[in-house]
Amino acid sequence: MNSVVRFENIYKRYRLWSMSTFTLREEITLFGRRINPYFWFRRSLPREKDKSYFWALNDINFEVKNGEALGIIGANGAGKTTLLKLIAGIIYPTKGKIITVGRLGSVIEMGAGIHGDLTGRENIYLYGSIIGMSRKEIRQKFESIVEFSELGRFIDEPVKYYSAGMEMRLGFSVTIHLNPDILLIDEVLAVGDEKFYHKSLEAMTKIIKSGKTVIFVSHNLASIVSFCNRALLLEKGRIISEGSPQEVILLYQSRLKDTEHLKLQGTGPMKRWGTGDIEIKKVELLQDNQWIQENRTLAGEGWGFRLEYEAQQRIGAPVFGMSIHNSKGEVVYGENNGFREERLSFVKGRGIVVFTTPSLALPAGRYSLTVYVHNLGRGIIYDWHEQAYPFEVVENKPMERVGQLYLVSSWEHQAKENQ
Amino acid sequence: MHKKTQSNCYRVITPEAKINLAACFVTLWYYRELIYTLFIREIKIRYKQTILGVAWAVAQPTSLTILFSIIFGKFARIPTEGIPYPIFAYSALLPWTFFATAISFAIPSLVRERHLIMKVYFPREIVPLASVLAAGVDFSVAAIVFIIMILFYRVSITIYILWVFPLLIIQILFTLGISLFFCSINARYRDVRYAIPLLVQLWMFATPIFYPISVIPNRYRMIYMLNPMAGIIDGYRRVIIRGIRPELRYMLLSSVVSIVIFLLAYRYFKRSESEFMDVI
Repeated sequence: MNSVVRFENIYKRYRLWSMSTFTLREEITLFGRRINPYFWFRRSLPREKDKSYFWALNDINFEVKNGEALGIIGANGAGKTTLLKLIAGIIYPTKGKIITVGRLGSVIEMGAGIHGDLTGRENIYLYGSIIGMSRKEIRQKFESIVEFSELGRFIDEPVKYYSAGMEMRLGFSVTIHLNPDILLIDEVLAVGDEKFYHKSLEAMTKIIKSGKTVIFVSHNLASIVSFCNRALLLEKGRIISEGSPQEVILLYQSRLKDTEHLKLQGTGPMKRWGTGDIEIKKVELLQDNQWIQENRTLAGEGWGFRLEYEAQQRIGAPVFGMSIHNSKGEVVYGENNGFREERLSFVKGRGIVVFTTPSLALPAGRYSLTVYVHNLGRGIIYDWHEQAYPFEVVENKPMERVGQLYLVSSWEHQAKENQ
Repeated sequence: MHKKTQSNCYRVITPEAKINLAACFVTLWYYRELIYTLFIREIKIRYKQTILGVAWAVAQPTSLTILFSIIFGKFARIPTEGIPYPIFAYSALLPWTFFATAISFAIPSLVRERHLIMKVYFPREIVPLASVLAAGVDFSVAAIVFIIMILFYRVSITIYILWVFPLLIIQILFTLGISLFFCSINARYRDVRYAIPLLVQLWMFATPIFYPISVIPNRYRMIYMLNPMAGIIDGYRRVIIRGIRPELRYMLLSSVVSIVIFLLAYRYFKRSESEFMDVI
C-alpha cells in the first residue's frame, strides 16, 4: 500500500503578537532589504527573537497509508488542528515537506461559508462547491442531501431564519455527500439534537468503514477506538506515541494523570487522582439478590453501582465512566456516558449517578471496579478511583460453564415430525 | 506553496518555493466552478434585502454625472472637445465606477471571508477575483444607461468601438493587480481598509473623468499617463464617443504598466500567502 499523506520533518511556528515587536516599520525595513542587492549576498535579515514565536509543531514525521484511519489524540493546544490544517493546505509549514496524494475533503469545521442571506438550496450549491464538489455532482446528490438534512420545505427559506441545529444539519448533510479520497475530520460530531447526532454518527461510520483514508481528530476517545486503526498522541507539538488506538489512549490517560495538578492524589489507601472539582464522595455496589453477602454477587444477575458526587461550581460536560478489572488488573469491560444519550450537559452541587446492567456477564472470580469522572476534551480528570471497589462474582452452579463470559442462556428443543 | 499536477491529485506543500505563475493559472482553471459559485454568491448577497436592488449600480455614476454636469459643465464650463457634458462625464464615470467598486469590494474580501479560507483550501486569489467579477455585473447594468445616452445624443459609432474589448481586458487586469496587492497587505495590516475610500477619491481626481486629458500640460503628460486608468478612460472616450482610434502610445503605456502590475501583484500575493494565512 502506498502512503497518501506524508509529513517530513514538519515544523510550524506562529508569531505571538503580544510578545512581538514586529511592526509595519520593520516590515518596510525587511522589504527594503529584500530588494536591496547588497543583502542578497549577505542574507542577513533581522534576527528573529525567540520569545516572540511559538512552535505549534515540532519535527513531525508520519505517514498515512491508503485506506488507513488515523486518529489524532491530544489535549487542547497540542497542535491537532494545526496538523489537520497543514494537511488540508490551509496553512503552510515553517520547515519541512508535506506530500498528499488524492482528492482531499476537509471537514475542519462544518458550515464554513454558509451564508445567512441565501436559501438552504443556494447554500447547498455554494457550500458543496467550496468543499470541492462539482455542480454536476451536487445536482445529482441534491435530493439525497435535502433528505438527509430533514429540512423539507425550509430548504427554500433564507438560512438566517434557521435554528442553529438546522444550520448544522445543512452543513453536515452536504459534507457527508462529499466523496474524497482522504477525509479530514475535526470534531464535527458534536452537532444537532440527539436523533440527528446518531444519524450523523452512523453516516460517518459508514464512510470510514468503506475503506477511505481518514484522519480524525476528536476528543471523544471512544470514537477514535471504534473508527481508527492507528492513533498518534500529540503533546505540546510533538508526537509522543504512535500505535494502536487502545495503547495510545492508555498512554494519554496515564500522562494526563501525571501532568495534572492533583488535589486528590494519595488520599486514603486506594489509588485516586483528580482535580477535585467534581468529587466522587461515595460508591455503593448494587445487586438484585439481597440474601448474598455484601460485595459478592451472582453471575448473570442484575448488577450496578450508585455514585454520589459533589461539584463546588458548575462544571460543563462531565463524563462519568467505569471499568471492571479482573484479578490480574486487566480491563475486562469499560464504558462511559460521554458517547451516549445519557451524557450530561453540566453538573452543579450534589448528585447521584446510577449504573446498572440487567445481567452481569462475568464468570466467577474476583474483580475490582474503577469509577471516574473526567472531561478528556479539556484534558481534565476531576476524580478517578482506580480499581478501588473490589467485588466477587459467584456462580449458582459452578463447573457448569467455561470461558471468560457468563451468558444468561437457555436451550430449547423441538423435534420435527418424522416422515 | 502548492504544487499541483494531474489535476488535484499529487500535492507537495513546502514553506518556500518558486512561484510558478503559469501553474497558478492552470489551478485557477481547475477551480473555475468555484469561481463561478463565489461570483454568483457575491452578486446574490450584495442586493439582498434592498428595495432598489441592482438599480443602486446605476445610482452612483448617474448621480455623479448629474452633479458634474451642473458644476463643471454649466458653471465651470470645462472644455469637453465638443462633446455634450453629461455623456462626456458618464463615459468616464461608468468604467471608473467599475474600478472603484471592484477594488473597494476586493481589497477587504479576504478578511471578510476569513472564516471560509481558514476552513477549506482553495486558491485564495479566487476570493478577490470573484469580487472583481461581481463588480462587473454592476458595470453591465450601468452600461445600459450609457447605451440609452448614446442613442439620445445620437453619437455616431465607428469601427473603432471594437477597441472597447482590449480596453476592458487591460482595465480588469489592472484592477486585479491593485486588488491582489492591497488584499494581501490588508490581511496583515487592517490600515488598508481605512485607506481605500481616500485612495479611490484621490485617484478619481488624478484620472481624466470630469476634465479632458488635454488640460494636462504636455510636459507633464507622460508622468500623468503612468496612471493606467488615465489611458484607459481616455481610450474609452475616444473609441466610443469621438469615434476615433485611441492614442497608441498611451495605450501601450497603460497596457505595459497594467500587465506588469498584475503579474507582480499576483506573484506578491502568492508569496505572502503563507504569511498572511497565519495572521488573517
